[in-house]
Amino acid sequence: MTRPMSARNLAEASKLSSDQFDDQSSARGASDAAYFFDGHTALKHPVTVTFHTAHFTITLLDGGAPVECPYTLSRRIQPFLPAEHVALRPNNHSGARLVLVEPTLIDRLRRHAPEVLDPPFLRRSRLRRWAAITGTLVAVMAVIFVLVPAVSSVFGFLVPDTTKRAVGARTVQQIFEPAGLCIAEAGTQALKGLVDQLASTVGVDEDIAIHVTQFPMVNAFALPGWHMVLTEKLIETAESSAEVAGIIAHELGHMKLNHPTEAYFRRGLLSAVVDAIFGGGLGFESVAALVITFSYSRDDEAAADDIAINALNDAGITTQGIADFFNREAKLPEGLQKMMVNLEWLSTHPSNQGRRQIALEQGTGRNQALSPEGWRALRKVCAK
Amino acid sequence: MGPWGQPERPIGPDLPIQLTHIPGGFGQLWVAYVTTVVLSLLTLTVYRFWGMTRIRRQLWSRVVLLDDPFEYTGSGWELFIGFLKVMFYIVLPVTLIIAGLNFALQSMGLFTLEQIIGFITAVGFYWIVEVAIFLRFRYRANRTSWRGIRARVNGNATDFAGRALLLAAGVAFTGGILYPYAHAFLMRYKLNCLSFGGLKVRSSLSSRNLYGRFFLCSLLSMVLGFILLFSFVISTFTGAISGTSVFTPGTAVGIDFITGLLLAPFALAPFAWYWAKFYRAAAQSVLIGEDQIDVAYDVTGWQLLRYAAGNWALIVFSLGLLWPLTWIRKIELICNCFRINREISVEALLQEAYDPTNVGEELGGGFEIV
Repeated sequence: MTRPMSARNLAEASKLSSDQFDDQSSARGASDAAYFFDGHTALKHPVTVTFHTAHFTITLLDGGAPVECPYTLSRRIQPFLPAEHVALRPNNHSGARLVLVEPTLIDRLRRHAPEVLDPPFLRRSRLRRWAAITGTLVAVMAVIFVLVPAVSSVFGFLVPDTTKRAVGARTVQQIFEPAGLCIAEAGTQALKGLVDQLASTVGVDEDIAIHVTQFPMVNAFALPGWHMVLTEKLIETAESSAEVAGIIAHELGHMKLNHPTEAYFRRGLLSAVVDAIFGGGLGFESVAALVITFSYSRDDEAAADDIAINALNDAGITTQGIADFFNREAKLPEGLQKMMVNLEWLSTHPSNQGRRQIALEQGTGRNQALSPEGWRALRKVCAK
Repeated sequence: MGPWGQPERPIGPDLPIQLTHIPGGFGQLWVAYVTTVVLSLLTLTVYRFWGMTRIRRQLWSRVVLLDDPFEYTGSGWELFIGFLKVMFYIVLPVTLIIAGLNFALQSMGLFTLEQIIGFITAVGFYWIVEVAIFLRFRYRANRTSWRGIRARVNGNATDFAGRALLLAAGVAFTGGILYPYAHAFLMRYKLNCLSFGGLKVRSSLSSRNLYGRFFLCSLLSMVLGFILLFSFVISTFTGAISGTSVFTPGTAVGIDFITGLLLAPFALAPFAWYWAKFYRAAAQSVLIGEDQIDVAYDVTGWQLLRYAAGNWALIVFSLGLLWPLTWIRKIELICNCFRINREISVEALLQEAYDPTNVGEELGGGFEIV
């Protein structure tokens, strides 16, 4: 009478016919040749093992019915120490374990079923693993580069204007107000007039709330709900009112295309996706988020540039100002410039030299954006 | 017969029974580690599930009890599927709900509620992390087997997390005084859920004897922290390490600053003695099975301090390249200190039911292998 190696899926082994038996391969009488754990208790059974064409039989030297194990349902445990021994288990969650100690037994197993020692399921498993990893990566890329932008666009479109305005106002209050807002009347009026003029040429039919902040950086921001923020340092470093006008027109371009609200959702969704993928704890999250954010806001920037140049042309304002701004931004050490050109795909903005070129080629206006008085007033917008 | 050909050792006479660690194998482990890191970077970390499994199988196979090695039976697939479950059922929905709520509250100008939502979110994430800690414990126990017999953790992860949350609040409200009680309570809870091969683990761990050591270590830690902070400030301003001070125009004080940051964990050094006492007490509190087998974990404060400082040095000075040595050191420490004081009846070690739960590892495990 035989019994399975403790697992239900080994039961079919007992149906094997006797013509499959290969007596030449049996190793009998060597009680230290192999041992067996039946998966029910931790008792160690000395055994003999006989190898057949399609299965092997374990005979317990301390009594009990022999156990028949098909090679197809057996797996090698790796790693197993000492390395000269071979440990086998059924391919389910049973705890049955057979350990072959005697080298001749291992040789016989190798002759009868080399696939147990170097199992094809391991090769299949590797293939399956890499298929799963590739599939996951493709899915993640699709989520990041297709689904997240699409969902962000839809959410951005669906959010009511009052909500956007409240979010924009809140952002100004939380981030820019603490650094100080500039409120000199003449400068504010000049700026507001310029913004309104450009908004009408861009085709934004909304009341733009413009803020100048003493936030310590050279930058401009378009926020949800028609809020725009320029930094004091941006105005200080600008060489002409046309330059400021170019930057404002660029930010208006973002507003027209609803980029600020979309970006709000995109950041939230990306953060969720990145958190989920990277699992936390490895420190890759911020780098990954940065790379992902970088690589796909470039299209937004190029679209905003297009709108800005058209708006400046319609208003008769020279694009030399914005070209000068790009030129100044591009004045980096030579090595760094080369690196930036090579890494253009990684940047949020197209290369500054390229943008300068486009601005100069497509610009038709010749005027400054503000009168000399207006420009002087704007430069003193943060004066106390 | 034993696996190395010697007669099987009778369990009774050679007490206490000790775990042994088969030395060597660092090369293989290091290759597995570097492969895991490189392939994880190339696959946006998705490979990590298989890499961690490969590493664990190697580590587990080197721990031997009564001549037979332990076995890690978990698989990369299980961890991967668990990760997908957690991502789709927990992380994404929760994050989207929170982002949506915050957006809605911002738009309605309900900023006070926004802070309340922020608080609830923080509490919720703490709870999820505690659930993950328990599930991770459960998964690793159930995927650890010896002679084919696996361990098992019964008990409810949400119940554990709820208690952990309440205790964390208690620790916060009492300025840390409740810490030993919370620490002992959670360890006792986990131990009482554990069984190995049908032998139920019972723990009566109490915090009563831990308080004296805890207060002493806290006091020493504060003194040491103050000395380190003082030295750090002096060094940063005078440039004791870098040779340049903040008073020297145009010089950087980065080296002093970084040194200060790297040395900061040493303020916690006195706690090695608290932890040593805690582990010893936890082991002493344990009785296993009907035969009430008792165990010991004879670790000292110095051993723990040497272990932690050694790991710190290995990781910092090798820039992470020797990280696998820290896992080997952990296993060696456990093997050196853990003892079973009474004989085990191997006939009584009956198989545990297989637990298919496979989530939890990815919610805060990071690169914590052992």
